This record gives sequence, structure tokens and C-alpha cells, in this order.
Amino acid sequence: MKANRWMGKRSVEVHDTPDPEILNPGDAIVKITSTAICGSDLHLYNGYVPTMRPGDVLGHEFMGEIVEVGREVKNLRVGDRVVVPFPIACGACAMCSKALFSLCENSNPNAWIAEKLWGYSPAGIFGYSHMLGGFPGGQAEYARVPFADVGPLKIPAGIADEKVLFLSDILPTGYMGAEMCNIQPGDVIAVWGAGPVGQFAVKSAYLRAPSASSSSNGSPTACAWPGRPVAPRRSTTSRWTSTRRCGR
Amino acid sequence: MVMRLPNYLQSIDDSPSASIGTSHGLHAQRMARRLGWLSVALGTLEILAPGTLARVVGIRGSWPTRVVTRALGLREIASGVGILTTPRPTSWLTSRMAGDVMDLGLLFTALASPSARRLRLLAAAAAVVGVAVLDARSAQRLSAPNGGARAVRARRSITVNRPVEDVYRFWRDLSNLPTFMEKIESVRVTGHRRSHWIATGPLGLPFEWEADVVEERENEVIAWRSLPGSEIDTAGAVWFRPAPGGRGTVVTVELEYTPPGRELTAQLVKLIGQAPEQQLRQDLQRFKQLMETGQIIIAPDLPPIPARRFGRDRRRRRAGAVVPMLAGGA
Repeated sequence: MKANRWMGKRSVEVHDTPDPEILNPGDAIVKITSTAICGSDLHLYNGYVPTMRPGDVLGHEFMGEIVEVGREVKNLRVGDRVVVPFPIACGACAMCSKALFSLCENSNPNAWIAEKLWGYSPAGIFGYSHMLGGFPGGQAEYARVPFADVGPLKIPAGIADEKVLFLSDILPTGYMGAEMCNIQPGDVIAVWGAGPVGQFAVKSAYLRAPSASSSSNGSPTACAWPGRPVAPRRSTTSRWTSTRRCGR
Repeated sequence: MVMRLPNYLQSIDDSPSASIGTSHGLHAQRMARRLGWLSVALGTLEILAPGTLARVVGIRGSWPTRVVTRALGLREIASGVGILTTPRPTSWLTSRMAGDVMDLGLLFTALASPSARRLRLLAAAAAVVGVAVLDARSAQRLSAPNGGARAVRARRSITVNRPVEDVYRFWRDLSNLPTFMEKIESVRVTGHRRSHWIATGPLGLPFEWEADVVEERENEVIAWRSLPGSEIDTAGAVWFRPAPGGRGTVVTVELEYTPPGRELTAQLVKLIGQAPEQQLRQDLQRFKQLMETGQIIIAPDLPPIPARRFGRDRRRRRAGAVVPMLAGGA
């Protein structure tokens, strides 16, 4: 298959790559129909993420059709259309059982490297360096999805890829910004940084508020404009997007 | 509510005899610390009162003597600080020994001087010899793995989201260990307590031994130890206790082995960088995966591509690069 591979700092090339295989009984192979480039792929591209190796397949936002399942996969069948979330989650550890999937304790086989760097390890992530598992990513024709019963979202026929692809990462990221805002009816919401995450934060702000019919003031007003956050801080949830509640 | 010791200390308390280390290494480390403080004290004295010190050891405190003594003081403080700040300061102790030899040389040179007071100089030299012997002995003891005892030891804990009974039952069948312990090739259970182990040692060499379960309390502890006269002297113990908040079981494992071939192999193991603690940490992560998900997840290594362009942009690398914390839509 063809895959987009990281070849070194600021060097990414499409190469022939061996097809992925089922390695664990809970794996599935997805034939990718749509994939996206994430803002965080730029960290890899610019060489800021340690433990990348030349030849690593990039991509953690992808969807496609199941073409093969391991013998223990119960929820998916060959032919299903799925969106694959970027964190890999086992569904069985203490974190997964609280739906804190991005903190899965079992999906990163190289957790010890992340622990050395950060003091803890998040879940394994597709196409995002070896300290997050070294899983080949989704900017490819096929990808292996571990714990396939847990993460992938089945998509009914008749919904176009573009309508659902961003469920893999960037829409939930914008949504989380809106969720952390504790939006109330009538709030005015400003989103700094009108990139893709910012625009999803705006959409999510509307989603988060009670419907217009249930409040006298109607839905909140949300808008986004380009530029930097008023007080740029690296420690906020999002480097580029800062969602603030501005008052009523 | 009863105050509880931290898990780690608790498990030391109920450590079965199978895995108690020697006090040998501890002793050597204590001695090293004393020598470190001696260095700092002597060095301070040499810098602050070089003249007085010179007269005490029997030399005239002329200005060249004072300069040399101050320089020696700096050296003493450097090795003292080195000893006190390094966990296993063998090289600092060796540097102290070199300093002792230098001091002796200077003292004997001073003997030739007509103004020297022989008796005091000889006494000072005797003191230096005494300290040098202590330096040598501490350095030698500390240079053995585990601070004197030849045994290599490792200890780690992990929390497994399964009931104590399940975790205990899985571990009690020792033949399950090779499924998650990378360096254990096989464990064949040959009796109620006895088992035959095959492991991969340093440089891929195989080791075989017979072991007995020496202590066993259901849902609490299992300890095993190789039979006397085995090719390798090894012991292990695992403790199980319910994790707080209904989070399953805290599993604490301690492993200890004395490599065959005595000092030589022990040094070799150290040289080729086998890190038993790290190995155990990864083994326990696999154990947790197996207990919680029923599988050990495999991350494949892609066939590497020749790194022709790797490092091309090194010159353009910007200073102050940060590691992003995967925020903003990782």
C-alpha cells in the first residue's frame, strides 16, 4: 500500500509500505476512505516530538471500511463503515471504565518512555511517535486498529465521509473547549483563533446551549476571529484556540 | 481510621525471608558518606587556615605552603561534594585515593626539608594512609552491583483492575509467567512447590534452574527461590493487596538474582546495561494488559527506510523548542 511517511524533520514522503496485519485478536484492518491532517501533525513535521523514526506512517484522523477483523472482535464486521478515534483505548482498565479513554492504561506499549518524559503516559495514539506506541497512522491506504471493539464509531450508509470524518479528533477537541466553558443560555461566546479547532468550538458552543425555544434569550451568540488569544498561554487546553465565556 | 504505611513500606514489613538483601551495601554507603564529610571538613580547614594546618602536620606555614594547601583544600571539597551527591560514588572515592597518594608524596617531600618536624609529619602520613585504606575498601565494596551484595535486585508495583483472587490465581500458576516476562523462556511446574525455570540471561545466554515456592499465603503473597547449588541464585516474591477505591489489586514484585561467575559476570551485566528495574516495569505492564484485556498489545516496527535526509535540517533547528503536550487536537 501507499502511505505518508515521516522521513525526518520537515520531510514527509509517500512511499510503498507493507500492508498492515492483524497482530492481536482484538484488531481490525480498516481500508481508509478519508483522512485528515491535524494541527498536531505539524509538531511531528517540525521535529518537536521525540521518538519519531524515519519511515513512521503519519495520521491519526481517519475513517474507512472494515476489511478484516481479529477472531475476538464482536462489534464490527467486514464491510462496516467506521470513524476511528485518535486515542487507542482498551475498554477494560480503570480509566476506560470511567470513559476517560485518552488516559487508557493499556494501549501504549511504550508507556515507560512517555513516563520518563512527562511523568505519566496517555493512551497510545495512531501515527504519533514511538513513545505513544509507535502505531502506524491513517494517512495510508490501510491501517490496523487495535481494540477494535472499543474505539471505532459505526457510520450508517448514506452519510458522506466529510460529515463524520472530524469525529476522529478535531470536532471533539473544539467541543471540549465549549464544554469547559459551562455555557449558559444567553451567553456571548468569543473564540480566539478561527482555525479548524476554533470553528468547531463555535459550532459546539451553539450545540451546548439549550435550544432557542426553551430560553427567553435564545441561543448564545458565538463568533470567532483570527488572531492570537488575548493572553496567550501555552498551558491552556488548546494552543491555538481559547474559548472564553464573555458574559451575558 | 487507622493510619496506613505507604504500600512500599508495608510490603517491606511482610517481606518473606526469601528476598531480604544484605546490609553489606548499606554499610559501604554509610562509610562513603562519612569519607565525603571528612573531605569537606578537611578541605574547608585547608582553605580557611592553611598556615595553622601546616604547623599541625609539622611544616612551616610559609606562603608557598599556604597556596599549595589551599589548592589541596579545593580538591578535597570537590571530591567531598562529589561523594555526597552521587548515589554510588566509586569514581569519586577513587579520586580521593589519588588525592591521598598526592598528599603522601607532599608529606614525604616535606620530610627532606630541614625545618620539618619529623614526628608530626610521620603521624600525618600515617593518618593519610589510614584514610586511604578506608577509601579503597569503600570504593571496592560500592563497585559491586547493589552496593556490595553481588545480587541484582528490582522492585516494582502496578495496579491491576481485577479482583485479588483472579490476579493471585493467575500468578500462582508459575507456568503463566513467561507469557508476560520477556526474559523467562519457560517455567515448568514439576510438583506442588517445585518448578523448572529457563531464562535468557545477558548476551542471550540461557540459564536453567529449579525453584521452590518458599512462602505462600492465599491472595496475599507468593515467594520462590532457586534450590541451593543452582546455576543461578535467584529469588522472587509477589504481594497482592486490594487497591483503594475498588480499583482492583496492587501487585508488588521483587526479584533478585546473583549472576553466575561471581564478580566478573556481575560487572559484565552492569556494563552491557541490563536494567532489571526497567525490565520488571515493562513485564508488569504486560501482566496488567493480559489480566485486564486478555491480550498483550503488539506495536509493529515498520521496516526502516534509509535515513538519507535525516538531520538535513539540523542547522535550521531553532533554539527553545518545546515538546507540545498533545493539546489542540492531537
